[in-house]
Amino acid sequence: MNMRYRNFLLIIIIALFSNSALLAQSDKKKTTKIRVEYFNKNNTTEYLLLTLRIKEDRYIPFEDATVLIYSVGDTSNVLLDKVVSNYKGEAKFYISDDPLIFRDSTGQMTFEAEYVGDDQIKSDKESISIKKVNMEVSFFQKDTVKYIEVSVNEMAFDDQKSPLSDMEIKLSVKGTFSNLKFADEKTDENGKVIFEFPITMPGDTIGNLTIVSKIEDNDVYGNIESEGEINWGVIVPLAPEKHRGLGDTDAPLWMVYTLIILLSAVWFHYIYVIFLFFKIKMARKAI
Amino acid sequence: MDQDPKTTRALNFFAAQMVSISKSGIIQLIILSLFILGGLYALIVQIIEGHIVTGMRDNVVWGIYIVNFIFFIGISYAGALISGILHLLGVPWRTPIIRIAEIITVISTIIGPAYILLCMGRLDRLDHLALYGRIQSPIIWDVLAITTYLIGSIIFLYLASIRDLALLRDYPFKSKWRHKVYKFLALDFNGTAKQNRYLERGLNIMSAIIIPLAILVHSVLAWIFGMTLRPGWHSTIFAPYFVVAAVFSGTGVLIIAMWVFRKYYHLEAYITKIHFNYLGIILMILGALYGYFTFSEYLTSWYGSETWEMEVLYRLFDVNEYWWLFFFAAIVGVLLPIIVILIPRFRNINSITAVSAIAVLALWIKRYLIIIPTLETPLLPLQDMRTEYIHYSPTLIEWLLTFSGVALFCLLFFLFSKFIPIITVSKTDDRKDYSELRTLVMKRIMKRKLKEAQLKEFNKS
Repeated sequence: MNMRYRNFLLIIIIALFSNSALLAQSDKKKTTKIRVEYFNKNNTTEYLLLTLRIKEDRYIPFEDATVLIYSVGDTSNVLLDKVVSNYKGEAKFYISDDPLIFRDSTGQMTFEAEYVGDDQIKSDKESISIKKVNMEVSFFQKDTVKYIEVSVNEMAFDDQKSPLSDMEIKLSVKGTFSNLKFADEKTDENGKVIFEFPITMPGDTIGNLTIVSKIEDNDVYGNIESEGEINWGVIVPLAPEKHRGLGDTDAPLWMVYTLIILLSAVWFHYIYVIFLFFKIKMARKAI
Repeated sequence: MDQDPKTTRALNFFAAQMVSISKSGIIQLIILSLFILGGLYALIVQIIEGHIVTGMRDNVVWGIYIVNFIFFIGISYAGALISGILHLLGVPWRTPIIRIAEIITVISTIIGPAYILLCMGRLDRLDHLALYGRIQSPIIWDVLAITTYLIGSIIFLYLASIRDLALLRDYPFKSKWRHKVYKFLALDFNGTAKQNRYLERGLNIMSAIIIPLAILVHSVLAWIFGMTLRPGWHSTIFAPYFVVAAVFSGTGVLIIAMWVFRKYYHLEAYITKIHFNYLGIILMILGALYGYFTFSEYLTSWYGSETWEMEVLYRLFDVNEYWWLFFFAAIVGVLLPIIVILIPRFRNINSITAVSAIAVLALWIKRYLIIIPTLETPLLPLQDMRTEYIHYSPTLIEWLLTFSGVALFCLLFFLFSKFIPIITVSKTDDRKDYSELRTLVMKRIMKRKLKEAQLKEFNKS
């Protein structure tokens, strides 16, 4: 092989190796990912849900990670709190009426979540801007037809309400393990949407139902959820199924009496045998 | 009390062992005490920290404490059924083993229920059981049945020991406390016809009562599982299955105890190969019966293919979960004792004891497999649950308390043997019948060997 080519090849190999060595060095630090979501439940509870992932051979939940929460202002960021992720890599930051939380003239709040990292784990940060929304679920009846009304309003800095049109509302009924969706529609120019109540919807033993209205993953308003309760559901009586366990206290009386008789018979014999002890003792004395 | 020379010899032999202890005995005592201390430490930790120190969680609410409870109640059958039945039938070879069996019953019935207390979250409310317990609840029936069984077992052991206590009362021990205790317990027994009549009457009554009582206790225990609508538990054959498993494990522990005391106290003249053979055959029959029940139980569940039953079965047959434990408990622990005892070439004292130990271990594991996989398979779907809530694994605290229970069992046994002869001394009068039986067996063996020799001669010619 030509000397020049050989040297050239050697340089390329060295370059490749040194490059991969450098990459390997930078790869030593594990990467993390933070995801921030905003939730508003029943217009009373607002919180940020932080989901942290760390890359091992794949991204897995990052447990016990401390995340700093900042309120982002016009000029500077203010540290609000530190939260720690649980075994699912999740942490919650509840938004209160803290004056440290900055709101601009439109009522928008911006938060930043930062994981500072260490020698082995890379830092990461993520921010979210949201505007507060008020969503109400109400019920009314016209003639024989029953309706559900959902109204959605944006809350300004001074808590002034302004209707939100064209918002997609998903309606569902609350279940034991998950909600059962039954309708979705967009709000009108008044920020309202009206659904006809499905009269065949099963309720509990007195017909109670919880209707859940949701706005999901909205870029400006986040996740909004409101509930309303009404007794319009079809009454579902409790299943007449009945079974007994040994820990229950409703054994049939004949069994209770049988047990008492059996145990009494056994104990009577015990007492008789103990009486025999005395007789044995007396028999000795009689000699 | 009048006694024949044989009884005197036996009494001298056992009395000498009761008042002395060898160096190895002291070491064994220290080891047992260390295990018990370890258990005490674990108990204190559990009381202070709460049940979080165990592997039990909201989902798997029963762990090895309940396994130990069922196991100890199971081995208590050794005395209840074996000594009860042997006494009622008047089996001549029972004398050397009957006391060991009765002691096993009493000790295991004391230790077993203690594990229920360890499993309870609020021990300070234990008195509520007596104050507010309702007779309409079958759980209370279990408490009543076990209490009745324990008291019955103690009375039975005491009755069967009165003759020996009378002999010990008259024995010239150096220590005064022994005389006082034996005098009190012997009830002035001196072997008069009337006293013997009363004693035999008491023994017959207790033998007859203790058998159905033992069956009732284990049946109620089995119904706690059987009447619960959960896969792997809701079974109609659980009561007889538990009873058979209990007698199987009780016989196994009895054989092990016989082997230990035979070695430790040099009882080769009293506990012979014949006893091991007879009990081995009982073990083999029970093993076959237990194997049949096991097969029937799993076959019914598997063939029915009910979704939840299959969930449990899949766990049992999964090599990454319970397969090897299941294989040992349901196949090795059943087949090995049958094969070893069935084939005369394999049958000797050590092999019978070894397979008994395997059977006993298999039955402990079997109880584990009844409880844990079922609780790990909930009827309602679990969401967002931590791994330790779904999969149970016993913690060091639970193991310490388990081993301390076994150590306490051995220690109490040892202490009993220092207080009363481990073999009924007064009953050694019966050895006349027993020696006749032995001669009969020897004659049969000789006859068989002669036939074999004749057959060999014939084939050669």
